[in-house]
Amino acid sequence: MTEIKNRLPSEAEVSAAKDVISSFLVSMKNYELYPADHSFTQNFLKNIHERLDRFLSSYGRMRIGIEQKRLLYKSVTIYEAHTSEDNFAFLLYRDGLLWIEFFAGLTIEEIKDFFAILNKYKVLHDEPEEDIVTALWDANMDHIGYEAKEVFFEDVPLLDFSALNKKAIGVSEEEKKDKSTGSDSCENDSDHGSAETGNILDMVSGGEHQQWWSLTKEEFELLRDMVQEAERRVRVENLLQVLFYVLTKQENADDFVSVLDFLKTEWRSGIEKGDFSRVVHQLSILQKLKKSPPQDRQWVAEPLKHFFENISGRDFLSSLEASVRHINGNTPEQLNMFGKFLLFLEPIAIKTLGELLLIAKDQKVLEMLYAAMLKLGKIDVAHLSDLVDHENDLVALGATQILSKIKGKEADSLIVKALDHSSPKVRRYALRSHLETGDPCLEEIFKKIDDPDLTTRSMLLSFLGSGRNEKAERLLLNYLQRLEQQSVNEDHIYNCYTALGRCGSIRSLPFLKKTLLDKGWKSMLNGGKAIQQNGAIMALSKLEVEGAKDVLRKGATSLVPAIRKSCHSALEKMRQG
Amino acid sequence: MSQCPGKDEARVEIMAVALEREQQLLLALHSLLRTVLIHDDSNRQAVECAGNFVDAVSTLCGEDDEELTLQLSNGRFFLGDEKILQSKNTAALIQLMIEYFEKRQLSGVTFFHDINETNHNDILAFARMVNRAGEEKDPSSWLKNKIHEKDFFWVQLFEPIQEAGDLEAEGEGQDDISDGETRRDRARKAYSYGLANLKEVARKLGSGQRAGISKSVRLVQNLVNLLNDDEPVLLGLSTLRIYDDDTYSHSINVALLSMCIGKRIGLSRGALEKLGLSALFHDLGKVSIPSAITKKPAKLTNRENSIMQTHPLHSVRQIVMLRAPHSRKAQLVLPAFEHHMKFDLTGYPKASNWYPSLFGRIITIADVFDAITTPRIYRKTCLSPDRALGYMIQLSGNDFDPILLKVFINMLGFYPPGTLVELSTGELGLVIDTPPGNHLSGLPRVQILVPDQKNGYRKGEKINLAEQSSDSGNSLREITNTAHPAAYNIQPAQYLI
Repeated sequence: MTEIKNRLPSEAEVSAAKDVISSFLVSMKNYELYPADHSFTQNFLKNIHERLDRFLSSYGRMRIGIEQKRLLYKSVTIYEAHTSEDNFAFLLYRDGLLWIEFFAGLTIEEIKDFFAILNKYKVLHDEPEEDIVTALWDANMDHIGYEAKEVFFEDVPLLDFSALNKKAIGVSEEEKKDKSTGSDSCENDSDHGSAETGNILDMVSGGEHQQWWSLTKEEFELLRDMVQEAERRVRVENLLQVLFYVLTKQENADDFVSVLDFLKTEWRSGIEKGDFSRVVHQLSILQKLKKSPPQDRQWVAEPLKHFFENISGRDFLSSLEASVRHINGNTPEQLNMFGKFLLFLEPIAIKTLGELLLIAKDQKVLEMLYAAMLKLGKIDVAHLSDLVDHENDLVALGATQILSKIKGKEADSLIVKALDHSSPKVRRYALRSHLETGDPCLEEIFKKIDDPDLTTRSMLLSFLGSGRNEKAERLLLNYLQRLEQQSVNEDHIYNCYTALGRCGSIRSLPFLKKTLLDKGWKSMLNGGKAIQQNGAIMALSKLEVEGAKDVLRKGATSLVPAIRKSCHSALEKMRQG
Repeated sequence: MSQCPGKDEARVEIMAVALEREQQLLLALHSLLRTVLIHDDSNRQAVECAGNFVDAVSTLCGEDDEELTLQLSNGRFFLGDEKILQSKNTAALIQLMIEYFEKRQLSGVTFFHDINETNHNDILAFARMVNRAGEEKDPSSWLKNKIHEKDFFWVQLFEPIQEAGDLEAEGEGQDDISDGETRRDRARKAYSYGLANLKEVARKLGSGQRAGISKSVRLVQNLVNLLNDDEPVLLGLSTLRIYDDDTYSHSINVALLSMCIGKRIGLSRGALEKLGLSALFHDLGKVSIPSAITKKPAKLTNRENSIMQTHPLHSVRQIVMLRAPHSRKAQLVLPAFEHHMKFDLTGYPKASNWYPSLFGRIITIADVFDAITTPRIYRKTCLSPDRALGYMIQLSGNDFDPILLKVFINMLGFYPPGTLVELSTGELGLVIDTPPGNHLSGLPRVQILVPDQKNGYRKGEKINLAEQSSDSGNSLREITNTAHPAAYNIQPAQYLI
């Protein structure tokens, strides 16, 4: 090592070291811009690996000294920062790194891990807890070494062990005579009471003590299993039990909320893995507690209310995505627990649940999501509002279907909102649902008279023509009067007139008469097909009011043959009943 | 403006909302220093800035008349011993203030609670002085004198920053730390740092503040390195007893012993780190138990005992409160909860259908061993380490996992390091270890302690008690009795590491 320090590097060596650092800096910038699995990222990682590899093959290891604004290679500056914003050296320096070293054999994986650490702790960004030194320790990379000074403890005075000797307490002069200091009560902290005891060698005879030296084969195997289990996983089940138990013992709101928050993160992670049963069990207890808090802990109701709202938010519920994708009828218990979990949610969850409809593959999962949304919608229908005009028609349709089951004024008004959805499927469903309420808002639904979807229009007109209705008549009359100048689909016009005939009254007669008798030549001159006149004939034939036949008879004497013929035909049909 | 922290104002557009209190202090200081450059003392904004600064200091001082230390170390600000974390919002401010402090060679400043009673004019005068210091040759000394002249008793400066030398540490690498002396130094430092760190964490939790654990993590990582380099040093270190500071030294001893067990059973370095941290924080809940109970110099009443028995629950709560990544905290919960449960679940908290975690079972063993070998204010006597093992063996399978207890005894030997032995020769020896070749006899290697002139002891020779006379085949020295080192006012660590 001293040899390395004393030997000044050649120009070529310094230049190669500078080259490595430059490519590091460029790569660092790129690393911020592209995701880790992006081909660009892979390329620059490969590039830096090649450069470092070349350097290490030529010069052995590469140790970089770290100062606040400089990086050094064998005492020669190979990097110097000029601004504090862009100081790569400071990133390494501030947590106490003295040097960092790359060894031959460095892998791309290690470089990737190293970059991930640098990126996490980069200067001028939100700083995570812990630091770059602890992260490097945790990463435990074989070919990247470092040394750090204890910046955090610089001012701590070191203990003088010899000065501690005289402070012993608890051993009286009398007891010193019996220097064995036999056991006495230790109950205050270790609950290990008094016991007559001696050295193990005094307690067992002959060579029996050897059993304490050696582990049997079975014990070795058990020990190995215990270690493997401890290394492999955290015992989430027990962790949740402990936290929940501790939660129920909290005596003030702040502590209660802190533990609850902690638990929430654990629940979230459990749900992400599709493990609902523990969560459901604990939530059901909390819900009971919320509903009827004990006399001395009335304060729990408020934080629990917030808690249940919180777990109904998008942030928490996004943890359901994986489960919604994968759960199916093959795992009935899990499916059942999933359904039960949904029942704990508050209406605010509706929007996220609605969006989950898009990724659910299993019919039962879909049904459960619908059922939950229906239950929540009945509590507060307003949360379906965002869904009825959701850009995805499946979501909007689902919401509309739910609204149609909820019924009531608020639900109806949201269904009306769905009438404006871009998907004809949704509009049709919304219109049908709204019409089924039996008391639809005609002004609202009449806006659909020009709906681009034929089925929607037909449905509307069929409803309008379902019986004599003054409001419908007025709306149709206005519409048809305005329609005069426009070129509209022929069938649509006929349907409108038919509907007018079915819902109309004597009030429509003047308009129809005028349309039929005054416009005959005009429409012919316009090269039209006498659409309006034919429409009027259709309406008159359905109108069932006095005077309608007279107008038709007059039409039957029209100079326009087509009108004449149509009027005759209509009168004939009326005569036949 | 080159001297003031406002030179780069455009960079320091900070939302005052949602800042941590520590960050708010820096912001308030920055505003104060900037405002006094523009306004005189009668200006409303200047007075407001002075008030805000005092408020920020007072809030952080808390109600206990504490002092507040703002320190710059290694290009980082620390408040007390907690680093001020940077965020997108505050990064520019922090950088600016670092440059400002460095220019004035200020390594830190302490504000005392009396700042509350200081009038705004003094605060503004102080701010002007700090700004002015940037123009002086020896800014820090100049400022120190000025503060003294003005009799500003509510503020005190740290010693000036030393110019950074060449920090390139060639030749001081990890792989060079093979020298025993260096390891002993590392061990001593680790223990000292550990104590300081635990006290700070406990103080913060005790006063309702959130405590970070980054230092503890770093400490435990160092201990794992040390353990891998030199297990005997760590075992020797665990014999340290600080009698007026038992809770904290106990936690460190438990961490050391637990990690040694962990190493013996083949835990990875990552798992050793988790085990060490878990052990370090296993008794954190004692902060929440009234000291009238934890320090009671007598047997506890039933009621007091039941309060004492809530400390594992409090430990869990305090762990939850720590400022640390969730995953890190989650690893600490179970061992803290379980460390008094006992293997057969007859301890507390009561649980059925429970199998304590491996870390919980390890910590239980280390906890009891350290507790019953440590004299406490509420206990007249304690066991010597070898008798403690004898006692624990009787509870194998009940209180302790029998396999782990075997490992523990394997590790320590029948005469654990730090046991004081009286020899047939009349000599006094301190057990160093039990060499592998002595397994059949179970006899240790000891450090002979020779009385010195000051009622103390000095190191004599090291003796393997298994050695036999070549003539008679008998042992050269036999153990006639064992004792607790405290009975002789001996601190084993002084002789063992």
